[in-house]
Amino acid sequence: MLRDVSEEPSEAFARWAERQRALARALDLTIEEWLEILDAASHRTTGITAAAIGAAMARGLGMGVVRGLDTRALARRARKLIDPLPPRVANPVLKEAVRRAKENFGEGQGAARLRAKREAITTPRRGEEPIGDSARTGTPDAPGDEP
Amino acid sequence: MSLRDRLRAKETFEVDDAVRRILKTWGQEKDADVARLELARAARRLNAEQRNVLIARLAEISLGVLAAIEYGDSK
Repeated sequence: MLRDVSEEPSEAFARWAERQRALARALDLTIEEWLEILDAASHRTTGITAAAIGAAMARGLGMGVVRGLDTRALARRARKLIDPLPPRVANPVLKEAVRRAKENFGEGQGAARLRAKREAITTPRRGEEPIGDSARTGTPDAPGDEP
Repeated sequence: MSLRDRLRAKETFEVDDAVRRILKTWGQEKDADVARLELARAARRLNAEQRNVLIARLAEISLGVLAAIEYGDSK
């Protein structure tokens, strides 16, 4: 969930914004709804402070992350990152469609990605050696040795 | 919530516990795509109240992560 420390800062912001859009989709929320939820969350400073400390610790950063933490400004920054060019249409459906239009997800791509992560399963093949003595024994369907 | 109201206390604990389990699983999954897929499935099994709590926590975590990125960027 967290940024790789080797990433460039701008790349980390872009990745964060991309993951936010994906998170909204996973939760069956529109981008507009998710932005409103982030705005509402910015008033709950305790939860954000705890999350910020946890994220900073995971990155090897200190407790300085909470110094001067402005959650309202953070929400404004989040909005700019997630939705840098807000659609000018008023209709919420069109607004969401405009926002989603930039995302390049073809149909079935999610399933293809999941399938690609699976280990390759080889088809079982019969060995060359006979399994046992009975393998040579004749049957009504296949000739063989007398029992 | 009243601390003396044991029935309501139990209910609140169960809500938090279900959400906590989902968040824990989500946080421990290394692959972001798989984590989101599992999160989506788990969120569909929650009731409305639990779902609202989960979404609120996710929003706080998201802003917390952004704060850490900004802090790391400023250093």
